[in-house]
Amino acid sequence: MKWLLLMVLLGAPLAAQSFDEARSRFLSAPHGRTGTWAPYRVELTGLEGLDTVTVRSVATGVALEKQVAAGGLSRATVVVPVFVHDSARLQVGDTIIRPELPTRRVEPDYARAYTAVFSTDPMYARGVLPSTPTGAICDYYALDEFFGDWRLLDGYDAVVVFNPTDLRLPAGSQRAIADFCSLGGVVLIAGSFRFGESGVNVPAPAEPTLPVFRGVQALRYGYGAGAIYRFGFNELRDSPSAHLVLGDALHDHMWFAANRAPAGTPESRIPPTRAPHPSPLPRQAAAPAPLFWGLAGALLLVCGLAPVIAGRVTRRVEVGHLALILACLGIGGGGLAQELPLPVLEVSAIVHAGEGEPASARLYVQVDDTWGDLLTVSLDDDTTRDLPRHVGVQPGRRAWAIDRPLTSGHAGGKPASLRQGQVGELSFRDFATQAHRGGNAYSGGEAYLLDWWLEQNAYRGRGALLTPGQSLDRGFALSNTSVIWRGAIRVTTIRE
Amino acid sequence: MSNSQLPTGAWETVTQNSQIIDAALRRPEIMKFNALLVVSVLLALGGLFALPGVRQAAGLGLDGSWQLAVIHAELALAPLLYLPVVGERRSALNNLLGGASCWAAGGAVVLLFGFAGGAGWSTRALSACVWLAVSGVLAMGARRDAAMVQRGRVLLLALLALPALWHYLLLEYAGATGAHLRAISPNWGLATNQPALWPLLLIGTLCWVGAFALPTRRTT
Repeated sequence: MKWLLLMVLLGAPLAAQSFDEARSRFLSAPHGRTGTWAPYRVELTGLEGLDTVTVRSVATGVALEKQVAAGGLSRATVVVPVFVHDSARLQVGDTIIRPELPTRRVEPDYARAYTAVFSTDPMYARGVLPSTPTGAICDYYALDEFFGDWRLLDGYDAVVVFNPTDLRLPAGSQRAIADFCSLGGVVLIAGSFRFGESGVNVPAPAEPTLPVFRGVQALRYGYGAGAIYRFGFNELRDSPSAHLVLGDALHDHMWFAANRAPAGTPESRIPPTRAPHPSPLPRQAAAPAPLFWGLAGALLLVCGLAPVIAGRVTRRVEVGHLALILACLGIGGGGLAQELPLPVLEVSAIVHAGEGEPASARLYVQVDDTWGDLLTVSLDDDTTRDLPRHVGVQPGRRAWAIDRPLTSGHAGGKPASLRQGQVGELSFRDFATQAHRGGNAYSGGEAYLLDWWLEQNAYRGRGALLTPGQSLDRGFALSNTSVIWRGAIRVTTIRE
Repeated sequence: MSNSQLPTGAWETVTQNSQIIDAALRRPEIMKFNALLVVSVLLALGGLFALPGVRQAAGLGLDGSWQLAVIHAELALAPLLYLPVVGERRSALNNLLGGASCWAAGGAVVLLFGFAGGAGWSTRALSACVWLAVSGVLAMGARRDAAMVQRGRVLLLALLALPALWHYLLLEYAGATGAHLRAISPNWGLATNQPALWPLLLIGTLCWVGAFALPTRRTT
């Protein structure tokens, strides 16, 4: 009775943890880019008696987990990435809610950058960089709530920071900006650029350049596929058309320094409808291990000897049968202990690079559905900032596209240059066909990556160096799988 | 050809052979190595399925399909591999335990092939029902004589193994479906992931009740 009472007392607060649904919401609402992760403020209640609580943000095939310190309080607030999709769910304890999705869908568009604006004065920010039907689409945040994890910025093309008062950005923001830029994002800073921490180990940007936009000089640092533009706050404020200055800077990056938008659709982190997966490899051939031979021999011996020995011991035949049943059950149980062949995890990667040392990668991963269907990532793990999303694939398999910031690779071949839809003398389609036929350095799995990327991007205004045979500095592994690399290419963006 | 048309002495030879078989099947020793027979046959078939030529012809791989082929063999061969002792009521318990030991031995072989992956564990209930029905039918026949055991084998093969053929013949010649026969065919049920246990359980239980309840036949 005493134990029962204790369990009831301990169990009561555990069962009570829940969401305050009225106050939980997407911070980007009403905007949201379907197929990306967006910042969601979670209000937790009923945390009495708990030290920590785990919030899970689940979407098709993916779960992101974050530990929240309750510290004896009854309520806590945390911002976690939530997938902008019907499949999105939030879970704490046994409580699961379906977040209300943003109502305005933001599509990738070269002319209209989806922008997160952080400012000490959001009203001023709305005046300088308004969200207009023909310009940028903006979500406005206070500067002191700058995200310390790039995964909260996943849906955005650009980040704008207004910091006239020399305010230090919160801890983690330097790494978040570096991650975001390495993935192709652009960060515009008006004013001070001070971080709340030092000694963060991120690669240095490329040498700065000094572009001028409508009479306002900027300092541009190329950072892999992305870039950082810095303006003096006073110069921007004194400019008669500050919002056009910022718009030009955004276009300068998104249009690859050309004076008009490239054709086609800009690259985004939305999962592709058709992923560049090569044809799946057959399953690993199973082979009997010594345990199999040992158990099979033991089974034959038992079946041959047990009736004979039982016949010597007793005249009752039933005893022999019973002994045999027990021995066979034991050997069958031993058979269950044999190691199964591991599912094959096939990984392909496109490394995105640009200016300077930084680069990022998008890993395309597929595995047999015997492995499971939920890829779990801890948002508290400082060693990795990977962000997966589920990708459609043929039945019987699971696939994800995983964005990995700040990675580097080693080129394994001579780069080919894409300009005006031509790769050297060949049109991009002929070049891809040649790759599939083994006629150039993009053999095997790399041909699928090359073909897919060219089909998506080889439009007017896109130039790139394509390098085959990349190897990443850090591999990818899932528990209980056998990893096979199918190929990787490096795409280095060329500005006009 | 009727019995009267047999050559001189042939009928006597047939009768003598039947009596020899009947006498052999009445010895409890014949069931002694029944489990060994099951294990040997299934292991040999498992090895056969690993041969490249056989594998290619059967559309198998060195994966879960390997174990599945062994499971199909186990289910299909149960009516042929089970050897009940012909005799009085007291042999029925021996037959029941013999059937259980065959099921356990066959199950051990199937689980040994689990190194290739597959669904061996989840088919054990179906396998138990098949062995129950097979041993029940044959043990009930064994209460009478060896000929009834052989008739029982033919009946079981027609009942458990041939419904897919009946279905095909019905479709071909009568334009009707025999898909409902899937419920009594374990191999068909396994192939379509819709195995039905209750018909086999019913047949097995009724036959075992019959095997224990039938009065012993007195012969001179």
